[in-house]
Amino acid sequence: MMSLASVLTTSWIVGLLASVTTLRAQKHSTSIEGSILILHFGFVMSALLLFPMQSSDTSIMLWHWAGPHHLSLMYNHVSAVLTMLLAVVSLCVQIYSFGYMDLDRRRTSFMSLLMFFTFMMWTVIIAQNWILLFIGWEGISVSSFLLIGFIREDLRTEKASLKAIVINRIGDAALIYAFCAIISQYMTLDYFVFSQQTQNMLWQSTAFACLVAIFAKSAQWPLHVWLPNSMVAPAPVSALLHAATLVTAGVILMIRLDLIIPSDSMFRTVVQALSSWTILLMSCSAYLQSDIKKVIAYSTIAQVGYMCIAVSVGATDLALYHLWTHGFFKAQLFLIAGLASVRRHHDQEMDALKGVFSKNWVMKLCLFVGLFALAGVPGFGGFYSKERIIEFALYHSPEKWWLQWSLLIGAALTAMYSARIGAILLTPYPQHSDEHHVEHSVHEERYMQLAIIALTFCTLIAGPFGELPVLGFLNDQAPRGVEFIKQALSHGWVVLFCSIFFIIYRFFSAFIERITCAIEPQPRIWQYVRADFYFDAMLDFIGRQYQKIASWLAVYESRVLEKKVPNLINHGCEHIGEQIDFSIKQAQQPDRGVRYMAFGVVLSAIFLISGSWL
Amino acid sequence: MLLNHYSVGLMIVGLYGMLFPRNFIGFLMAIEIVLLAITTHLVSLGIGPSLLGLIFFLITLGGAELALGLALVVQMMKHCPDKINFMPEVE
Repeated sequence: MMSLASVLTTSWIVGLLASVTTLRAQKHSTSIEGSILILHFGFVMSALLLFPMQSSDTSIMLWHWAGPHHLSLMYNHVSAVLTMLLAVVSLCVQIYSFGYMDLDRRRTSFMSLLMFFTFMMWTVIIAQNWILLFIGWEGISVSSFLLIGFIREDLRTEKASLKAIVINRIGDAALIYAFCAIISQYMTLDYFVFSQQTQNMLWQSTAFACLVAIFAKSAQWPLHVWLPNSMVAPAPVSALLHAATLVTAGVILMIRLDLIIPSDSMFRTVVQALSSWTILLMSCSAYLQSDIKKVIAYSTIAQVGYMCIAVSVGATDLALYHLWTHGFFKAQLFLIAGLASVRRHHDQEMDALKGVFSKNWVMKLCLFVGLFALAGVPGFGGFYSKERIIEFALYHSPEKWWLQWSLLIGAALTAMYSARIGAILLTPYPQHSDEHHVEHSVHEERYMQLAIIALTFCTLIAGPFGELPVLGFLNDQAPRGVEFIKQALSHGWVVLFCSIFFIIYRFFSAFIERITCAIEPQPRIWQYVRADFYFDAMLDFIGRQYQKIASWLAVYESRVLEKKVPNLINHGCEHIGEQIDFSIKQAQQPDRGVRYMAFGVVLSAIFLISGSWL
Repeated sequence: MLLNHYSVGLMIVGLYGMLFPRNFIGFLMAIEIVLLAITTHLVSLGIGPSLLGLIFFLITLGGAELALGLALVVQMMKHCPDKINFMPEVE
């Protein structure tokens, strides 16, 4: 136990110092980049060392703070799984960044920010006291803001980063309210203390405040608009953002709250309804997008919806398992999309990416693995986790038909847009191949391909071999290995059939589409869905109205409050002064002065007499 | 009770300033007012051993926030003075 404490504390403090010191790095410095990579490698080693020590909950206090509160780290099975995922994904993303940002003069700064992002996410994962969790929560918001807006030349990045931080602020305000309510109810912010009080369940209002925070961070409807917009960020940022950090923070909070939320509460029904709605809307949007990164982004929102539903139906371990498998294949897909766009001069449109991997069979293979894992094809990552969530919901909530159908339709749509990506990217169009550009980018692609291959390997093993460490420690009764596959095959045959059918259908339709060149004209409903149901435009409209109100108030302030009110006070004071002056002058007249004096003496006498009676 | 009402009033003024700021310095002042409202409210609850630390923390936080905010204002004045004012059309 002592070794666990020392490894965890030392890693956290080293991470803190390293991320703060490297944030100062502004110039292109290979030594700093090397140090960052070594530190990340150390982080992976720490995660590997810590991984077997997850049998019991461990608490490590860092220091006392503000009365009864103290800042502590905790380590349990959830922390272990997430630390492992974060360490591997962030290391691969860092290696990828070496190649992706090769020609950027602020590469060191970029890598430092990635490291800071990773460290803050780790703080969220291992924070025991919720004040420390809030520090990490804010840290990932700030670092995501800086990373999304990293390319300063592009005005879209500035807007996207502002949108991300503003929507995250809504969640943060709700989280602060939840903290205050938790202190009022449990008199502590220590997770280990209040999560054990299962007889004293969380107040409904607190649970809903937490729900706002979770949905803002995990980009669930209606607070999802920031995530598709943030796709203008560099590919490594998108990979880290979607796979292991920002969007998963909400799910982590939900997993932690699971113990103290009643199983029959309205909170769970609301989560199921909103997440089902999110899955349907986002899957439809993903299918019709033309930007490859946006397709994957909408897919992330839908997959996080699966995780939220899993927690809400009581399958916390399955949510964690899906988080684990999804983290690997989604990071891999984003990195592949980044590599494809680099080959097409940073063009992310799917039409421009046709045939991008026509001469690279390794990347073709990696793309197939990632897409199969996303679609839930048997034997790949998504099958093991997602299909099991659907199976659980089918058998444990039979009365909620809408939930079951949304999960099934979502799975089918996932297979469809996965197949669409594959069909378009693997289309052999020789006229698009830019030999000169490919030759030029051989040096930078070396690191990128290395990272993608590493993540592909992780994607392959995360599903079948991940269930033992992830599920095994959480639920000893869970079927494993071949037994699990047999059970999933017997129960989840509908989803399996849907996935395979739609993949075949989509490949066939893509083939037809290629022959007929394009479908013109496009139906209007497609435009509506592609524009995210005009939800973004609606928020912009609300923002403009707010701005109008603010300028109207500012005009009112400047014209009325700042000019008329001081004048009124000024005139009032003048008038009162004149009145006093007049009264004094009147009192100074001899006949009136005697009367005033007599009146004063009588009044004083009455006052004194009344005081003595009392 | 009076102090409690006073803190609520301060909070309303501070929130108004934060939600509808006209310039950066006004925004900083609004944050300070909100922090002052929270501190006053904590004092109105009665200073115990658990609240004393929080009150001192809030006072320190206010000082740190003001220092950072003013440093930002100085930098903004140097590099982008036109962005200090959020609503130039009103002026």
